[in-house]
Amino acid sequence: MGFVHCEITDDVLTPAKSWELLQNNTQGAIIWFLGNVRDHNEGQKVTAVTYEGVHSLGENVLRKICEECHEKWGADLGLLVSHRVGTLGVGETSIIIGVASSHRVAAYEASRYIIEQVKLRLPIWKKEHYASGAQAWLRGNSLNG
Amino acid sequence: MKIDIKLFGQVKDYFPTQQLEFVMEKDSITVEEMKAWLTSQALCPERSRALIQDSALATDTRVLQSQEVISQGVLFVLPPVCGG
Repeated sequence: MGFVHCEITDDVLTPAKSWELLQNNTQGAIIWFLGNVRDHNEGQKVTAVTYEGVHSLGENVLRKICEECHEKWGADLGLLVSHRVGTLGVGETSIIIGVASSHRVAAYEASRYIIEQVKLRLPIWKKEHYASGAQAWLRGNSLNG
Repeated sequence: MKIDIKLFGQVKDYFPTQQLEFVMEKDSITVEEMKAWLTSQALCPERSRALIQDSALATDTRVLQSQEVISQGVLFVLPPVCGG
């Protein structure tokens, strides 16, 4: 089974730290996806976003998504998913996804799969803070089973 | 049975605290029944009820399905999610 690292963390996410964890000499294709806080949403100027999460449950969900990647694209994939919680300013990184594979197609597809599943399934909630002083929780996807 | 409920995301804005404690006469209840019971309680504001019905219940390790039976312990109320 390939390398897997999943975390919900309060710590600042840096590509350099993630690179050290995922980097190896056997996988020729490595894809990185970084999600950053942007300065606008639906016509409003955003100054920060608060991410709230459930650490243990969230990490279990991330590990399940990674298992699905191994089933779909091969057990040798190296996978890293780090999601930050707390209040992040504009430009700060909220999520880093790294996929290492022997071949580029699997790396691209698995990376896309992970971010789409994170948006659908990961127990994280976002509250946007606006320049006007207002705040609002963003609408999400129901986990009702 | 004793149930501790932890609220997350926008759901917790409707309650004075993030954690609620209930003692129920039943020994077990399904997830669906639990949500119906919770929304029938006086402390549950009417404007929060649709959101709670749209929320999932979970333990600290997994999301529960609607027909699963809960006995006692800590339950998380998870409103619709938006990670990433």
